[in-house]
Amino acid sequence: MGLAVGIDLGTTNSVVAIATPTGVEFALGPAGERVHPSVVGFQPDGSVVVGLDAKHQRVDFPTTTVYSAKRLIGQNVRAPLVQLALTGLPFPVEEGPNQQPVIVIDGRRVTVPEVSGHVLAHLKACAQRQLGQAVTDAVITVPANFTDAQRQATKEAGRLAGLEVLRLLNEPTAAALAYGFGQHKDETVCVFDFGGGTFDVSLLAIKDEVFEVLATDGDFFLGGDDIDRAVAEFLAAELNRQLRVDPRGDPALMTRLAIAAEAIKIHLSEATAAEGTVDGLLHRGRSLSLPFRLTRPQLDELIRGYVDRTIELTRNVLTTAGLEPRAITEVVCVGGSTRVPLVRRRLAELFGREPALRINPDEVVAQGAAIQAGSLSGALYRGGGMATRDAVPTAALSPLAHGDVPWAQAAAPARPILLDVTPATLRIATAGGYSEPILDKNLPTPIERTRVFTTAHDQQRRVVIECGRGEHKRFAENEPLGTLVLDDLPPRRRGEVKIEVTFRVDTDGILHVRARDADTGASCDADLTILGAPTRGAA
Amino acid sequence: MAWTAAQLLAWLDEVEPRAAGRSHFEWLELPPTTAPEAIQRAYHAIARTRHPDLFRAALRPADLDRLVRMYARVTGAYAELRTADSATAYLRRHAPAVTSPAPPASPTSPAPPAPAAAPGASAPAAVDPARAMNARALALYRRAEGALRTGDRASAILNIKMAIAADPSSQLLRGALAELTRT
Repeated sequence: MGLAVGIDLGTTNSVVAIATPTGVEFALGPAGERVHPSVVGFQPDGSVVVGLDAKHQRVDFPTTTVYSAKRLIGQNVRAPLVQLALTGLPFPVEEGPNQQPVIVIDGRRVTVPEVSGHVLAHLKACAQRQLGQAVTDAVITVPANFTDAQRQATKEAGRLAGLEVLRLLNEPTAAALAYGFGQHKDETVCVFDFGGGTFDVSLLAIKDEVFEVLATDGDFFLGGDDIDRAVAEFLAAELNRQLRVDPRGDPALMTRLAIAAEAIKIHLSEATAAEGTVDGLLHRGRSLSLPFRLTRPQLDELIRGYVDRTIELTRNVLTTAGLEPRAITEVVCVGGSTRVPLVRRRLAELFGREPALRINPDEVVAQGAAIQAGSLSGALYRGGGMATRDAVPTAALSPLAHGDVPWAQAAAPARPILLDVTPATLRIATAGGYSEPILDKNLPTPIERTRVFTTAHDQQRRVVIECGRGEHKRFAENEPLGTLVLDDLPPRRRGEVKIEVTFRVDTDGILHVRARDADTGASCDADLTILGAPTRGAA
Repeated sequence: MAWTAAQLLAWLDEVEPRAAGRSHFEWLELPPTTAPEAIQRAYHAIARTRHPDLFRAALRPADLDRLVRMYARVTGAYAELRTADSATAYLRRHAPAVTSPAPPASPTSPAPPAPAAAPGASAPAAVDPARAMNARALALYRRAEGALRTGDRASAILNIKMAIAADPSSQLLRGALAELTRT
């Protein structure tokens, strides 16, 4: 077996790291970057560029440079929220087989797992170049509220990159692991993950090597991109006001404004005002310059709604776990958006303490993934592994290397045990358009539960079991997961056939569904067809 | 901390045939209680020794699948007992059905007096523990003794409770638990 790495496959940026007995080492990109943009540029000659190079070509080739693939992976392209997300993307997306989104590049259809597979292959290549050894295995992190289809599609992306996915690890759990691993803590932490495209908040109990998720919640369509868009819209309005140019409907111009918006946002995390000019705005053959001034209070006002939503979800998750804000002993910040001063201020107000910043919020998830990869592969416990020789340049930069416990001196910390929960209620459709829950939200995993259902009509020979996830009683208001069909039922009167439906969520958070005819004892197992999931070799 | 593959397979052989009839407290290897801390501690103790992730390399896929199924029962039991309210509701629903292997450890219920012949875990045993319980219980009993020597009373109690789950018939263990929880 080759090396096992940990990968934070982010919406905007990705990070790859490896944990060894000496600490955690980050794999750098060609320009020495630790954070790799999750951007894939398709070239006219059929080749691809990934990472920083692809991000740089985004302005010149907006329709063949794909970013934010994580927002589309494993999604049903017909879902309203996905349609909404598509409106902001400059590259064309169509409906492919099994209702999955496919991206059209110069007439060629590319699946989303293929795009993410290119990102993963790039990260793998960076790690191999730096470590001088083959990388074969990976732990990849996903948002806690990722659906089954999104998880399967992420695994598929790993497979396309030639990686054996040892485990899909929930991002908040990974962050807690990076924070608490080997520290013999007894704490209750809140992991507040405000990334590029998604928001997650989780509460975890850490007791020695056990990391138990108590409750988790999140918003799949809330992130730093929204803040960028709010600032970009401010710039667009300024462009319209000052120069009488409406950039909406012009992808190249909007991309230019979005890039400027991100820079302004980052600047306002340090400074109280941003002032300057956005140059090179090409419009009808002219190159325009837009002067702007934005203060931090103005920015706060532009993004207040998004930040309010994160605090509301954080309050919800505390309620779910039955905890008061003061019961939280540490607030761990994850994701670049936690650098926004308004976010930090609101967190400090809620918890009555400043958030923890000991570990870089851009790297904390990859660090946790690397620890889990090292643990699952056993590399953490094999003394004098490869990295003791090769880790020199970056091990010194590793947060763990100057953390409280230098691994090289301490005995290898005990293997961490990660106890996760279900991120949403998993249910099936019942007669009359209603639904019944099989597994509730925030249940510990792995877990299996069976409920018994019956037929709705006399002589019914076939039942169609529609599975979904969400918190709504009416089935249609939940997110569809797929359908299971049970055939050849014995011809009986309505209500006389007993059908046992079993939902099992495994340690990867993947749902297995089984339906069984209880009376005949005939086990009519069937596979779940997941809408939006990639079909091999399709598209 | 993790069990060996052999220990684990022995546990699977033991629990699988009785899986359908086990109470939530039996899955958690805990006498009936409504104390969330005790329930969480019991669940973590099982996670530390038997979580499927610990055995990915050590077990054949078929046995790993058996483990996931049995471990999911433990998780399912924990899910229904996690809060004081849910544990109380469960006890009320299942009061006659739960065959209590040991005196209730709830802090509100008084511990029954120790049988005269049974020495406490803290005292030197007049009865040879090796004869008073089965081998699995004995291993846990020894661990409890070790915990007591380091002053870790909570772990001692937990191990005695787990020993009782492994050998509900041992009078010595019940006496030891009564003594430990009385003071």
